[in-house]
Amino acid sequence: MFKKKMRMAAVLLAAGIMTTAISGCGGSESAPAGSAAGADGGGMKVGVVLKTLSNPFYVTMQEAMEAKADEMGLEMVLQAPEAETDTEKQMQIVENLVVQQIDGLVLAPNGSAELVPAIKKANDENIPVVILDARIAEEDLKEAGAHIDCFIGSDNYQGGELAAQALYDQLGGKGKVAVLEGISGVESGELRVGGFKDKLKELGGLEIVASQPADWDQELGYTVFQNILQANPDITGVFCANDMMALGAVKAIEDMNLSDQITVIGFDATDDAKAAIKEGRMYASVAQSPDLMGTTALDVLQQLKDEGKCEAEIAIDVELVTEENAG
Amino acid sequence: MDERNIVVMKNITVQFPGVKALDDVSFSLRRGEVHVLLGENGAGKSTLVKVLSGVYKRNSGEVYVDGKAVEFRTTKEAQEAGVNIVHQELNLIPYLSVAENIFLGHEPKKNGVIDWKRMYSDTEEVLKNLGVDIPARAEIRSLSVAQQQMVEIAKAVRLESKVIVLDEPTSSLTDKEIESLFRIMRDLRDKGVGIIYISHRFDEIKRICDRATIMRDGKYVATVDVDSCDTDEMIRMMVGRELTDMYPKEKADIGEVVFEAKSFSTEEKLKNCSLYVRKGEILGLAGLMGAGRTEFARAMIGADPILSGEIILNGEKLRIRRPEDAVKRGIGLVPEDRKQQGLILGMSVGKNITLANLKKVMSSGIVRDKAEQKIGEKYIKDLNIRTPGLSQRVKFLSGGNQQKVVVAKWLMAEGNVLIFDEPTRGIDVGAKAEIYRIMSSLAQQGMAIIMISSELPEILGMSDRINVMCNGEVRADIPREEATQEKIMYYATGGK
Amino acid sequence: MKTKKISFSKIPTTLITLAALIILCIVLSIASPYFLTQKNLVNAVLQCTINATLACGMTFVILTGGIDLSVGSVVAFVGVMLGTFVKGGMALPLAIVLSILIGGVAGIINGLLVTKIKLPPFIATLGTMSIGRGLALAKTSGRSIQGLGSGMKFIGSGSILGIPVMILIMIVVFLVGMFILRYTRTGRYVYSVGGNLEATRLSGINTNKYIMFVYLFSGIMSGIAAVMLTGRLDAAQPVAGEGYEMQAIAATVIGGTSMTGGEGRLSGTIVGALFISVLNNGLNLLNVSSYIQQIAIGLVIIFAVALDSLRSK
Repeated sequence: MFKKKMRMAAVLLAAGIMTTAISGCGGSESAPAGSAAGADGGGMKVGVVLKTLSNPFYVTMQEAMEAKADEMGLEMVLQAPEAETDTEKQMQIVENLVVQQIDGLVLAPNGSAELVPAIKKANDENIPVVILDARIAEEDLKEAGAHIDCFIGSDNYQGGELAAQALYDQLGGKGKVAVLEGISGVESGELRVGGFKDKLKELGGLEIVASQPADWDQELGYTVFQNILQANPDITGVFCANDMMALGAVKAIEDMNLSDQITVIGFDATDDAKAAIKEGRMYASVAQSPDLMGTTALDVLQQLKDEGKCEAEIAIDVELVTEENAG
Repeated sequence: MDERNIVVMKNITVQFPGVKALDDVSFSLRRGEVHVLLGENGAGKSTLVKVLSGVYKRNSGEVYVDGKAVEFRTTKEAQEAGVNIVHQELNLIPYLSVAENIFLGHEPKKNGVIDWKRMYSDTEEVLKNLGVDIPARAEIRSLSVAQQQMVEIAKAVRLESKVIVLDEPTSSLTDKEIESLFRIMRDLRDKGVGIIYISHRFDEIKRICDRATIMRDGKYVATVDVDSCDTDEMIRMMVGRELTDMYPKEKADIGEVVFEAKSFSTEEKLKNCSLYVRKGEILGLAGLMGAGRTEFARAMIGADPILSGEIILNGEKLRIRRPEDAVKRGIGLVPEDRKQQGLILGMSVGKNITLANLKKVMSSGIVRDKAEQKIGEKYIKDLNIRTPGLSQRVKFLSGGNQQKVVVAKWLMAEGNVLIFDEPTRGIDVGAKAEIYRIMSSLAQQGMAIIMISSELPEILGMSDRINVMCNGEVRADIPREEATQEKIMYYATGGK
Repeated sequence: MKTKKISFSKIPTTLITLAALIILCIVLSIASPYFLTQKNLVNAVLQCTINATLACGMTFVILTGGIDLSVGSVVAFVGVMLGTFVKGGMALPLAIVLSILIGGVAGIINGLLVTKIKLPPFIATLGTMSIGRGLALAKTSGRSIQGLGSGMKFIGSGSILGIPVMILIMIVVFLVGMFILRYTRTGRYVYSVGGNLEATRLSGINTNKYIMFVYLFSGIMSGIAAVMLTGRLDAAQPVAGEGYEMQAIAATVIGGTSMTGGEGRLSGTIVGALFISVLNNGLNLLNVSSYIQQIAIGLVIIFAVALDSLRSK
């Protein structure tokens, strides 16, 4: 009998929590004390959602942004899902940030359309939105009645072209090469690979014998490139759409003692990649500036607050990093 | 302290949720004696030896082994002090060999690796001393339950034991195996080992035991010399009442043949087995361990695949391929191993009772609590099931009451043919009599009953007719009036 | 000492989990001023709906002593099929029903592998997990399907009478599940199959039928969860749902369902799912890094199960 009552109580309480959640606990919408202080440029509270923190690219971005936020006197809340494919988790984080009455949202989205409902939620609260690194499709935004205030990204297509030119020069204009792609459908990856392939076609001489996705992942970069090497042992160069995959490929090459034969070019110029370049294990990487990208986003939010407007798109330049400038 | 004692337990109390399993019990075991613990199930015998061997912790009281105060926290500590227990439930690892099991945790080593040669030869020697014929390299799962039991005993014998506890060791042994076990026990006794023996079989107790300690409801009753105390007296102390009639078989009107099993054969065991049972009749199915009686029962209800065989119920040929086909026609099995096969231990008494015929307490597709409760309470009353309530989980009931729950399930399922496989195994004397009474009254009400049993007094006391199986065949069909122990044993041991 | 343990073990697991949830809520409302706002609580419940729906199916499977590792992949595959249907111009209600049925078919395949081919559930669903993921990726060449129209968006972010549709779906799913477990023959036999398969079979019950049922049910739940997720993201992703099976198992286990089968309740599971979601939500609010969040969830799982095994001793 006692047990039954307890069980009943359990169900009732669970129901209670949910109804409170649904109906709103007495409409206590009063703004928490913290956010009221943000009157002038200083006390602004910014929410930042990155793709993941298990990729050094975003860790660099995070560190730069934290330093910049301190300098500007901003309060910054930075979160990221564990996996770079997890859009639902990003959505949850955005939802949880929006209720904290942030004054600006910086988002590096894990998908090109999946985060539109999340952006809409920020729009509904009149929170400015800056998208970083990967583009959200314009038509999806329009259809949902959502908008973003600014897109900041590297010129990925240009980066792909830079890599193609470097590989062409290094290989003396002939040979077989492979490409490791990022997750299919992610714009930055498509642009990098697109720029690379277009430029290579224009230059002529090099033949792309394999182009496979390795999902931005080091482990996958290793296994996928190992498989490619099995099928094409005479490959002399590989372009990887990010450094994680490039480092995976380097490992595969070293395991097969082909370091002298194959030239590896990555993308992002992460610290690990730079170290590999200095050691001569990897030839080059296309440097984005995650730090600059991140800090620019904070500048843009500040500008929006002060002037009420900003540029709709900002491209951050890329450059090739080789042994000479890897320091 | 008396120098003759190897074990002294003083004022032991053990508290379990809701019950005092042991209440101020004292017990002593001498070197070189076989001391039987007597009591109904739930009297506290197993708890007492589990306290001794470190399985349970006592709440108060003292334990001395060889004069030293001890408090074993694990069975391993107990083993190191020379106390070994052979549990009722088998604790062997099915995929290891006999030798590996016997030496588990004590493997002989040579140069840091296991000395397999010695392990096998030592095992063979131990088994030979026990007079059992089991290959040392055989995997445990290929052995019969009785053989496994002998391996358990061999395991305890091999260790340098000062005290050995045997918890109902003979319940699955054949007479020959029991003889070798007793011979071993006498050897050990003569070497000064103290043996604690738990059993319900008075014929064995009379033969092998020196003293008996009787317990009832977790309390100490008395310690007596077995030779100077007669069986009735001991039973009286155990149950606290006179058992007037152990086998309350009443005359039932025996009618037409209700159930007939024809020419059952299986790949493994059965060879062309047939039997029939009439309305109101209890058919005893006797035989030694491994004769194929359980296999026959399972084959009849479609639990195991068969090569051939058919069931005729009330003159109608049935297709029984799965247990559900049998249950639908009112044929039920009260299995030998009720914990593994008869009950959902974690479920309540009420839900176990309605398991096989849930639709009786359902209407419009919904299980009705009220109806379920009413029916459950009826069976609790009818069968005198002792439980705090319908919602009590079956695992907390004693063996006898568990068995009654299984019977209630089949009554609820409106069974008209019921097969009891070893219905009173591991059940105390008082509850045994109740199970017999239930069987007898079911027969009187017109049910056809098949009772598999390894206990001859039970077979002789309860059956209207007796079939004897040996080696996968039904060898004899004996009417109650002509049945004697000798006759049954003659057929059970291979006579034709 | 002993007596304390006894009274402790009498308290139903659901209630302990619930007490833990309430304590968590109190702590979080002190730690963060944003926690106890309507919006945030709605978020926390919204964020558990998909996992709770999967965990509902998972609870059925685990009650029989099985496991369904394929749910995350089935979510992805069903989502992709739904996206394809909608993009192909199929009427939305039909597309949704068809998608849920596809989830059911996946469940039936799992059930057949377990009952007919007698594969251990872990292996069977490990296989279908990989197949489901592969099918989803192959169907879309790894790309997501986007822009599924206002109907799907309504499921994901709309509300009826002020209550979000996602929460309504979850409530209906749980009421149905609880009804089945509590009042139907199927529910009873799900418990008894998990409690003791052989005894149930010998009692004349077609055990395979009920094992089939739980995998079918779990498949249907995956189908429903796929519809919810696709609506929420307004897109179908072949990489969606990765790791969802573990989240669903976690919710089930935290809710007090025994991995060996036969014991557990859906009321516990929903509290378990809420607990995970509130914990995640709270750690987000407190700006705790995602690494620490994973550690916290892990500790909760270990603690919950350890508590349960200590109690049952």
